[in-house]
Amino acid sequence: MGDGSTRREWLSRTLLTGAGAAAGLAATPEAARAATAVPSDSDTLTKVLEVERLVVLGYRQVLASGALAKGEDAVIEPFLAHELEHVSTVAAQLAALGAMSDTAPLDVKTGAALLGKYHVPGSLTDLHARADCLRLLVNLESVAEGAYFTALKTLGHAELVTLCAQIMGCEAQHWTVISGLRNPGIYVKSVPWPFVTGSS
Amino acid sequence: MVSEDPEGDSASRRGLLRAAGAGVAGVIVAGCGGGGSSLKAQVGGAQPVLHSDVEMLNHLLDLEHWAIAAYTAATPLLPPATVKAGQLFLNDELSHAGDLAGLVRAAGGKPIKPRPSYPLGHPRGSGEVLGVLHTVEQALITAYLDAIPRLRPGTVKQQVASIFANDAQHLAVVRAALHLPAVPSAFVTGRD
Repeated sequence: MGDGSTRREWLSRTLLTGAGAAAGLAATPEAARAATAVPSDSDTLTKVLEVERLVVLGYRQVLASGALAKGEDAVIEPFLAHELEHVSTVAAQLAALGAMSDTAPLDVKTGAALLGKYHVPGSLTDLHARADCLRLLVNLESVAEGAYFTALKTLGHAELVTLCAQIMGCEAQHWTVISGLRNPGIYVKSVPWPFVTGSS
Repeated sequence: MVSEDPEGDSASRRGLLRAAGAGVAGVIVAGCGGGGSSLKAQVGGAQPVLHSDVEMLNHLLDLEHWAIAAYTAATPLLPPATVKAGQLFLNDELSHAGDLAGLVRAAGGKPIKPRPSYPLGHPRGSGEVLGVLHTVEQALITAYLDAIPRLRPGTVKQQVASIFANDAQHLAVVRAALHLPAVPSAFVTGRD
C-alpha cells in the first residue's frame, strides 16, 4: 500500500475539515467512513493488533506451562508461529498507513488486564492442567475471530479486507484444531456452527 | 463475551438449525464461539444488500450447491471415522446456501437453482473421495476471498466472511483426514 494509503488518509482528513465533507461528496473510502463516524483503518487494525499480541502471550504461556499432553506441543507450536506472523503483518500494514504500532511481547499483567477487557475466563498463569491450557487457547481464538469479524465491517481498503479475512480463516482453523484436541473425534464440537463470528 | 465452555451445546443448536430447515433467508444461528445471538443481529442486518452484488452472490451460491452435491455423494463413502464430519459439513453447506439465497433475495435478485448434476469425477477409494472434498472446499475459499472485498456494505462482507471461515474449518478437518497439515499457513488462501 505504501505512501498512497497515507496520502489518502491525509486527504480524507483534509476533506472532512471542509464544507464538502458530506458522505455524498466524499472522494475516498476514509472520507465516506469518517462522515458517518466509522473508525479509520488504522484504528481498526490497532485493535486487531492488540488482540493478536494477547493471543501470542496466551500461546507462549501455554507452551511454557508444560501442561499439554505428549505430542500436543508439536500441534500448538506452529500456531504460535502463525500468530507471530499475524502480528508482524498487521504491524506492517499499520506502518503503511502511517500509524505507529507496538509489537513487543506483552507482559503477563497487561495480558491479564486484556483478558478482562475481552471477557475471557481463566488465567494466563494458572495453567496447571491440560484442560485449562486448551480452554484458554480456544477462548483466545474466539476473541481473535471476533476481532477480525468486527474489522471487516468497517475496513475500507480492499487489500486489508482480504488480509483480515485470510487471517480470520486461519484463526477459525486454529479454533477447530484446538477444540478437536479437547474433543477428539467429536466434530460437532470442533466445527459447531455453520457461521463463524467469534466473540467480542 | 467468551464462554467457559467454548463449544457450548452445539449439538442441540445444530438440531435446532436442522429443524428450522435450510433455505431460510438469513438463517438465525449463533457464531462459532459467539454465544447465542443471531448472525443477523451480529452483523446489524439493517443495511441494504446492493442489487449490483446479485451476480457475485449467485456465483457463490452456485458453488455452495456444488459443495452440497459433493458432500451428499461423498459422505457415505468416507472413512467411518469421518462420516459424521461429512454429515455435519453437508448441513453447514445447506445453511450457507440458505443464507446466500437470502442475501440474493434481499438484493432484489432471484437465487440460482442447483444444476441437475455437478462434475465430481470418479473417485476410487476414500482417499480420493476426501480429495474431491478438498478440491471443493479450496474452490469455495478462493471464491469467497475474491468476493468479500468487493461486496458492499460491510455487514454483507461480514456475513459472507462468516461462511468463508466455516469453510476454512471444513478444509482443516478434510486436510487432517488426508494426513496433511490441518493449518498449513498463517493465511487461508485456498491454494495450499
